[in-house]
Amino acid sequence: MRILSQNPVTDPSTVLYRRCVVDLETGTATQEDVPCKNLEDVLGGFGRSYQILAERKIKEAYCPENPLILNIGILTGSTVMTGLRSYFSSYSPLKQSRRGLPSAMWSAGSGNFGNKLKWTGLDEVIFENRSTTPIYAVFSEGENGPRVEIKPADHLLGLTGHEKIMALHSEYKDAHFAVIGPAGENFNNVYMGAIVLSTDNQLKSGEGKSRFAGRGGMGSMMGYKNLIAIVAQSSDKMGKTTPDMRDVNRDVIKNGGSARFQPVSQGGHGGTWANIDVLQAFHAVPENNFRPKGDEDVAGLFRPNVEKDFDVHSEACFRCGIRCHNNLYHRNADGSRGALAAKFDFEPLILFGSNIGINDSRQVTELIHLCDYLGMDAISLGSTISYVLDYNARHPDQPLCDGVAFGQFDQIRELIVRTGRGKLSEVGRGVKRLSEQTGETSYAMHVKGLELPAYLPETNPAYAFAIAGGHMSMGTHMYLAKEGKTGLDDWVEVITRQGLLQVGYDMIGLCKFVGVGMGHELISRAIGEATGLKVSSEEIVAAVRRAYLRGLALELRQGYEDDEYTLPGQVFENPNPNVTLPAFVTREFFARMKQRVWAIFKPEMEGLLPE
Amino acid sequence: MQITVKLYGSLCIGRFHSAVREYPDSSTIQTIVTDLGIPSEYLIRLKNGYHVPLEEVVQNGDTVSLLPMLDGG
Repeated sequence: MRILSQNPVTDPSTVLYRRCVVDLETGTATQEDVPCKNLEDVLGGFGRSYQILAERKIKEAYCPENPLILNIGILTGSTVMTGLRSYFSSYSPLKQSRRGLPSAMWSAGSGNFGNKLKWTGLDEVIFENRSTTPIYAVFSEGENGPRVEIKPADHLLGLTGHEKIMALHSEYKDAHFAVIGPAGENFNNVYMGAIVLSTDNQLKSGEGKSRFAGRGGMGSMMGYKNLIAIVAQSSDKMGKTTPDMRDVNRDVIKNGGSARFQPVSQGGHGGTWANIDVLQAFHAVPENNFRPKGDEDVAGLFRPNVEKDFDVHSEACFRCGIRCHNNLYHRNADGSRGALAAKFDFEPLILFGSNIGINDSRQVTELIHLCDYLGMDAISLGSTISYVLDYNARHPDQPLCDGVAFGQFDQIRELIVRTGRGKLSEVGRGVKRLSEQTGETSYAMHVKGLELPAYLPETNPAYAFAIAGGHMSMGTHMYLAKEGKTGLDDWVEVITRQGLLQVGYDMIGLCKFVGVGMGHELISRAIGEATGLKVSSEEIVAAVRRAYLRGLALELRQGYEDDEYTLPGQVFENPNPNVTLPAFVTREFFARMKQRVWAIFKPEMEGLLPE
Repeated sequence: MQITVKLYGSLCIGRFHSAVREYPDSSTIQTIVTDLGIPSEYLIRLKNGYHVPLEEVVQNGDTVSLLPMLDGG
């Protein structure tokens, strides 16, 4: 990125980012410095990529004209703590309007890949068309700027995501990697393929400690393009941490927001895993396809119980002091730490655990690891499997997938393997399509075609306004549990003010666990210190808001109709009496909420998309 | 007066899961939080199952639940 002035708001064109366009059909690449059009362009991530997607009218995801855009945020590769994010954007094979048009999506991941890409000198790569043969792309630093090579990838086919990364690591020592697993290779039958990102920990230990850009099937898009892997090779160019940046990072660590995710031994609450204790207090932990039973079965997944079977170790992303990862290791016979079992985050823990009737942590770890190795989105896969199990409980005489049932570990394991290897398209294409085939849609846990994360829809009516994943693009999933608010005014306010700002992290390159909102002065300070740009908190918030609303406008352009902004029918038709949080999401509440939110959003959406 | 206090997640460490504790009349949630040495930021506070502010006054026989305020990811 070249920065020629300090004010990106009044003069965004004085900030230029380096774009590389790779034509996968011809194997050619071109590069240019592109002047920014607005602050969203400057901040980066989906704020920029969605403007590119908006210029194209795409009718089906798997077509050569649908680009796959790889980019970073303005703080990626900087000395700001958590500044590691890379973003993948495209029209999604998974998320689709009823009219049949694909929705724009982005997915974000950490690991060191984003840093390395930045250090090659590139800020953005647009992959156009598709290769006729399996290839991988290598971006590296050359004497005259970033260098691009396209190479055959036949030797990588069939390997798990982790195996691909380690195979490439043996060849490229100073690099990080974005790869697909077998799921992405089988893109025609798996629309939920994830992109697997390498980490320093993974390359050093040889253990499968990848990170994932999982949502929306961006790995399947890579597979469609026959792009099996991306290599970013560069020397490390992390700048020296200035005293002011040291202050920023200290404030990140000390602010109560990030402390929530820090290890218990560090005075925190122990990562997202701890959500299970909080939600269980309200019997709001998803069980048996998002239908809590009001019992204590999930206690087997509480940390003290898991620690009986595993050595739980807090670890971190590259240079991150938050250390939110809870990695579970097997114990050797002598009590010492053995091999990695899995990383326990709330989403996979629940979606491969209590939500499919499994509360034995040893079994849950195996399923999480399997999903990761095969390269699928844990949320989409977990929520689709739970639908299958629920359907089978309702239809024991005409079941799906050989009659697999809640709690049947071996059969579920086999189902995951078959899905990841492209042998089970009814699961691999997601819960929306499957439920439309069966004709039973009310308990299919998706909104607008994207499966729900592990927070009950009856506790979050704002899922309807999430544009790229229920909890990663609308920060209201814990609002009811945290605040207890059930008023219409409260929900309209939280959606249209704070909730939508959740997407801002996916512009600037930071992880959500920095624990401060987009309007916090820490964000503005960090950008100023890392780049020299002067941007106020108000200007950042305004740019994030425009980017979010552009995404919402793009959904409408892709054919979404008002009645698709809804929740699974079960929420309205059959409220769960076991959940002790207030049951307030009635059809009437929801309709009034939507009406008021649209009344605020729609005027602001005018003019955000190209004519 | 006697208040039943329930703690969840990491808040139990070094404290307790559930206990009946004595507090003076007119005590508030803040009184209990301070007594237990829990930082009052990022805390979910329930009185008899309902969300309440720190200033909420408690009565004899009430149950107060304190939970760490987390987020997703």
